[in-house]
Amino acid sequence: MYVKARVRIWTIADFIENPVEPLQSLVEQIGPRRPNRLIETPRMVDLTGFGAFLQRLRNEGMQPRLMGEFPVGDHPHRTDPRQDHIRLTT
Amino acid sequence: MGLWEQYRLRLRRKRLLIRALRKALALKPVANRTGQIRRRDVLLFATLRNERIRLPYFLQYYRDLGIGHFLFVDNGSDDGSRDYLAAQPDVSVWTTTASYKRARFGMDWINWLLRRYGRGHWTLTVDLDEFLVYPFYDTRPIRALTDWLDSCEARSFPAMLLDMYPKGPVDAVPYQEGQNPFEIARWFDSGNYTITKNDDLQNLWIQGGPRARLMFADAPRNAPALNKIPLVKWRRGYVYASSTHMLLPRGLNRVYDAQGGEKISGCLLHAKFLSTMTSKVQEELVRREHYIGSREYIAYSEALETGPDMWCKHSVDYRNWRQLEDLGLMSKGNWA
Amino acid sequence: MTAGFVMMCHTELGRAAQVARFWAKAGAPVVVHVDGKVGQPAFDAFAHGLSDLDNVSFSRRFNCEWGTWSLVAAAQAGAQQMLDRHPQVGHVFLASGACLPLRPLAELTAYLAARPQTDFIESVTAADVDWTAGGLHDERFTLHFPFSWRRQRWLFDRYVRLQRRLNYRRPVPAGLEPHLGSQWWCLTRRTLTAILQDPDRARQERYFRGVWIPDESYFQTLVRRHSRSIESRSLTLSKFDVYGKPHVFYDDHLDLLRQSDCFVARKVWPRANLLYRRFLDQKIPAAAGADPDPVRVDRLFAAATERRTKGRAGLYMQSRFPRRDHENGKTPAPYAVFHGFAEVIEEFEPWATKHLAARVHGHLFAPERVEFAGGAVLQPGCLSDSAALRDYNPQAFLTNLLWNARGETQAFQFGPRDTQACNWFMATDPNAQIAVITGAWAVPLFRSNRDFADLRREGLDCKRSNWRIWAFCARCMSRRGCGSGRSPISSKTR
Repeated sequence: MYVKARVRIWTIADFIENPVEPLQSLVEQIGPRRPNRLIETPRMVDLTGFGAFLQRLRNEGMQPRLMGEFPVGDHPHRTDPRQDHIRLTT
Repeated sequence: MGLWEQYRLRLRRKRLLIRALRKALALKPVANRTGQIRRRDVLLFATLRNERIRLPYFLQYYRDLGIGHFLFVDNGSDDGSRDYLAAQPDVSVWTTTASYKRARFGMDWINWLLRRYGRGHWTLTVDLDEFLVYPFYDTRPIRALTDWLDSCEARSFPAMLLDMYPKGPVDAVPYQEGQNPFEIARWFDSGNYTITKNDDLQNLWIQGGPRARLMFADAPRNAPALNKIPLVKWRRGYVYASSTHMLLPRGLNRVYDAQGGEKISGCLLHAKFLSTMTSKVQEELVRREHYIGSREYIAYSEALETGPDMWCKHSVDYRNWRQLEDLGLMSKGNWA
Repeated sequence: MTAGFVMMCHTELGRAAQVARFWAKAGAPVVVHVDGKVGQPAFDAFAHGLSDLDNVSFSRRFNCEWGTWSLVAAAQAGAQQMLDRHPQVGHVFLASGACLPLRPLAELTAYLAARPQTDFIESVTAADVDWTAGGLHDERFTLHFPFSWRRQRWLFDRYVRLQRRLNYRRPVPAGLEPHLGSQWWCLTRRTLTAILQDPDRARQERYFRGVWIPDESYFQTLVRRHSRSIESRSLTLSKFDVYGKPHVFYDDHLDLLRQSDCFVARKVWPRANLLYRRFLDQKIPAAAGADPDPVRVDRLFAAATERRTKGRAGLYMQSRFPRRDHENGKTPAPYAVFHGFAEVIEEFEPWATKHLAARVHGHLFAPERVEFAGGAVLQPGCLSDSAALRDYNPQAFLTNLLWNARGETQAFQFGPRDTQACNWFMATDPNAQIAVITGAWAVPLFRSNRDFADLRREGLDCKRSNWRIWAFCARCMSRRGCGSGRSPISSKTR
């Protein structure tokens, strides 16, 4: 038996860097509630300091995996402010 | 199936048969009209105790479906059930005051009657509060179903128990003799049933419905089984292993398709949750003659005291068999 | 010219007598073949009941067994007797005791009179047939069948298998091209005479005695030799299910049958009193001249076959309980699983509810309780939010939810804290649309602003979360082109 589900996976780092594209694909696949409307991008959680937090976890001997490439320094990834809407291609 | 497995099941079946013969010694005939049974009659078998108020509608319902003869075991009724039944022209009655529990909840007696009178017939084994609904039952008599099952070389027909309940407390509307109980208990749960396969006897084990939802939410494993195989073309050597949930030989329990298709099935509408229940629960709690220390009845009595409403806003109002078919509770299979 | 009926009867002689009387009284001669296995008293009573009709006669009785030559022999004898005794007969109609005429005889006679040279017989090249039971099409003509399929199934199957393995093929006589079709036909006197008087008849019979179910191939094949004009369809409305068993008509099919405009239907349940009463009542008006059009009947039986063989996708019930991975549809409709979105996006659920055409639930598999959309306690189908009930059979919980919500897409959050029992089920379900943000589980921990000593105590949780996400993703990605041992998250998106 093979995997048949439609699966998409992003690391948190990748997602935070560019959330519009993944969300757009979700909306397109499930279908928008009201077609032909602009959909505002939801607000991301403020992850300022998350990289440092992960590093502290590691320092404590834990090993958070599958985070993607999160810089340890405080350089929060933010949504590009110009891209605050999801435009459906279909 | 290995040889040892075959032997074990055969032994179990034989033991049940012998047990039935032994327990049947306690049965005394009250009215034996089995001489009237015609070769192709569909026969109904039931055990009862103090169900006088239910009898008129029960008999009418199954006569309308085309049952040829009724065979009852009366377990010490003192409300006139026995005399009422004995006076019916198409009924045979046996009576006993022996323990219901020690006769495996009446199944030993029924197994004996089935063995003695059921052979070669389609036999329907139900309780007094169970009403069989099968595809097209409103337009085709039960003989149409059994003829069709014969042509398919099917030996058994499943009908899941569907608990029906009223809106409001169960005893709010008193049940009148002769009344269709589903005028009062017209609601049911449509989609909260769980199925596991019993590898030993190949039957499906179905649980859920309002009893699981309300009385067994903390211990779902203990919720009552709802799978039933009440209609069987009886042959010598067949035996009900546990209530009408499963049979031996176990091939009779293969009433489902395992490749994705649907076989034919029906429902047993369960008219338990009526005003008659309050007194029944009290009586049964004293007698302690039910399954596993009457666990179910203890739960009922607790629930009754708090005056439960089994109804909820997602309860479905019963209309007809096509509705049950649409909901996926039963199936026409390839009967059209 | 008129039509003559050859009736093959073996049970329910009372109904057969009613039908024979219907045709005979309307002026059509009837030759009745009664199975040799019917006892003499029953036969005598039957014959006596029809003795007032001088155009009803009885043909030589054969012991008939399904699938064997005996049925053809009986039909031949009946047809010969019809041709010999009733010279006014232009078409001979082969019917059975379970047939019911749906239209008055006069309409059939008129229909046939307008097509005096046409033979109505379904006759399909064996290679083109896909409806035969048991998977034997052209092999019916090329193998030997000495064992009874009904009584000696085991030997029958073994012998067929053996011949296949040995690559054995029985030669088909020259000049015959095997054809198959319904055994209920209506042939012209000319064609039928030619078939029965074929100079090669003895050799043909010898061959067809060895063919399996020759009543579906003897006339169907020979008609191709002798007919001038074949209309390859049966005038008898007769449908078979996937198991080769005829569908049966009941009282509730009355309107369906009436609207089909077919001349004769088979097979009718003997106790369908309403059908017999209505259709054998000569007074009913009919759509004069209409062509038979059984399309609605076809649709009904096709739907029944579909239900039996494929079932309803995503349904698990008492008579449909597919083995794992043989479900014909694990779930009824597409649904979405969001893994990690609620952790990374503020107010994700309200956002998704607002913008997605779906019912968006919280964590359906949360350990405390089922987080139905809007905090509901119950869902359609009376599905409960009790975690104990759900965890008793998580897969049934999920399939119930989806089945009950047919018509509305369902979506829910999922995470490492949740019951993981359905992972494999979802990963192998084409209806599942799974979106995962890995690592998101650490965000609540990060936002809780708790003391690090506390966090260390939750170190175990961290390990478990890591593992669960890893396992979930690995499941989801397995055998999808990711090499073994490689991280399932090796590229940005999949």
